[in-house]
Amino acid sequence: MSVLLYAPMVNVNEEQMNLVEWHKQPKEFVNKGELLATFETTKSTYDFHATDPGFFVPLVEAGSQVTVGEVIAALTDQPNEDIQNLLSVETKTEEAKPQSLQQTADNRWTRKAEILAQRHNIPPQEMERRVSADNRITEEVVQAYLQQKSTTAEKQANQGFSNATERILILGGGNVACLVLDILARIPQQTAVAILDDNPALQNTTIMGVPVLGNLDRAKSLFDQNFFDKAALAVGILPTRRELFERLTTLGIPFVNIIDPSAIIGVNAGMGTGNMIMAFCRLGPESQIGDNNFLSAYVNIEHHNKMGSHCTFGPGVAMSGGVTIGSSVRFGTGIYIEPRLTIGSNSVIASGVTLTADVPDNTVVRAKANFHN
Amino acid sequence: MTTYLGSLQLHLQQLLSVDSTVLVMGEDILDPYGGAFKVTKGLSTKFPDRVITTPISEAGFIGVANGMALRGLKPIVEIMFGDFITLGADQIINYAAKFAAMYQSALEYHLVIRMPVGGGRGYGPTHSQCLEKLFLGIPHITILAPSIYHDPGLMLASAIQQPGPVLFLEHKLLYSQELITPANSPFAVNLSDESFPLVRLTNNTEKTADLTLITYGGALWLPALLQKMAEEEIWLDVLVPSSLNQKAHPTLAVSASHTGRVVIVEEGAGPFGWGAQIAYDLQHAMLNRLTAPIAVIHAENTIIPATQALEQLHLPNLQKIEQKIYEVLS
Repeated sequence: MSVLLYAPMVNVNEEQMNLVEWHKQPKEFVNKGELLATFETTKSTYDFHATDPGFFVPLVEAGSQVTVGEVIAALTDQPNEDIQNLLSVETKTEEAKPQSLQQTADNRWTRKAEILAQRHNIPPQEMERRVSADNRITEEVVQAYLQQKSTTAEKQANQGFSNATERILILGGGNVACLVLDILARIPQQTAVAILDDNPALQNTTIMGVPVLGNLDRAKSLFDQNFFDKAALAVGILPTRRELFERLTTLGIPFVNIIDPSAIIGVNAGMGTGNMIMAFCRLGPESQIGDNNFLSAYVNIEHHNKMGSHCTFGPGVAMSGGVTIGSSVRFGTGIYIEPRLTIGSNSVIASGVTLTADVPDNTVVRAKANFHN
Repeated sequence: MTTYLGSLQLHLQQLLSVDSTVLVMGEDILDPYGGAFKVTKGLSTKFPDRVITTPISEAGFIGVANGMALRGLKPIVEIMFGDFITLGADQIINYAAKFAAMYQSALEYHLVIRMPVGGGRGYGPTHSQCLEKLFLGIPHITILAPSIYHDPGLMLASAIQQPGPVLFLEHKLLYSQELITPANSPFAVNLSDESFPLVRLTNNTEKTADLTLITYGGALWLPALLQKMAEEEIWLDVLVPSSLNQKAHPTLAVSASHTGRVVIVEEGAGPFGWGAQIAYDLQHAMLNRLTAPIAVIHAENTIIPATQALEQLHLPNLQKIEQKIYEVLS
């Protein structure tokens, strides 16, 4: 049988080599195993022997560069045989290659559409009926179906629960952000979508798996793009907390109350918005707090307390009943407050104080027994 | 248009031209042969005193390079096949990696060890491996792996300025390839502005990505994968770091935080590899925010076959990656 001969791989590092010499004349008969050609690579020379018997038809000239795998000669059964057939078979198999590598899987669906349909338990026939046989079933088709379905029966069944997840933008990427994210991790109805912070070192990082997407100025544009539903201030320090709340509220950005699931909110207790209520806090019955207050863990706002806005608490501050607190009051850690006292706005109550008398506005109350180093 | 090989050749010449302390050492690197993969072709003719051919003795000549680096020279060593790095491991781990930490600021030390790595050419079990995991996790070694989307020559120039020893991995399949740049790529390519950049690719800049794919080095299947996934309406955020011996680049977690689904592909064999570490870092950064477990694809946990058809089955390939992506999305 007539055969084609290919340039062998002599040196694994080289795709090309020099064909130095043909040892036979064109049309000369060659026996199997006879020396036919010599190649030279950059490392060695290599003798090439006939793989079959036949009449020799050289297809490249001695002295030329050949590529590994290239057809270099033919050995034919008959002298003067036409080798065009052999060569055309060769090109055909080459052309056929890419096709055989192609996916043979059903091409009717895009994979995205298929996966989406499976995720939502949509019967495949339902989609196939909607699209003519020569068109692919795409994500758009499945999405349209889901949209339609959710506007009718499914939506009724899910009333009050569809779109239940509130998307929260966290403002501030410091330690307080971790407190807020920790709470959100335990509240399935709320999810943090991103964090904004002015610190350049935080950009392009993640905090507990939530990306930092820019500085605080981006909040407005992200809200306008419907990227989030509500904002939460992860800042525990006054007056920054107050300033940010007021600035962003003016821009029309809504805030959310973040309430740890372990907190107890009593009957008829009420609050404004933007409050942070950490683990094991309690708002007693009939108590009322304003906006943007920051309650660390174990803060007890007792029954019938009234509190303004922007107050910050260290852990473990316990009120008695009927206390009235102004706005922007800073409480330290571990403070007890007697019943029915009034604490004026912009005051500071130091850690460890047991308060037994009213505090006017703008007053700093220090603890006598505090240890000072 | 520049090939991967062309970029390395060009920058090696420039490095030797501008800095007389740079020299190149390795087996068979002199002209006319010019090295097994021709990276040093033409170099010994231009700089006969600073291109040094060596005996077959990796431990010996990496040791010599160590001495040169200690005395203020900047040797660039070529290991003919990355597989042979094991012979020089003692010089790298117990000497080169220790100097900087032991002598601190008293020492200005620069050494780059270039290694052609990876399979796909039918070179068999001992000429096709990705052995970088042997050195990953060893402190004070920088391990770099420029992909076809990086500029390897430019990275080599930065590598020789890097303090401490650098292992510089060049995947064999890439040498002949045209570099893919933001200008000539059919898909969006972004490079971070670090000396050893992170490449970020996507097959759809309009839509939110469905999945984060992380890989490095060879990964010649990437252009075809991006194309195929685009046809299937699956939008990928592909991240290709070039510096391996460090914690996951923060952008990896940023991407994962958007997609919630991650596939990592590496060519090295079996478990305990780079992919496992990146998966660990990501799960740590992501807490419970991943939608599906992180998948890692690597070569089969056995020797690399010489037969090319079997080698294809052994290494991560387009079909395996595609299948894994569907699995993670389902």
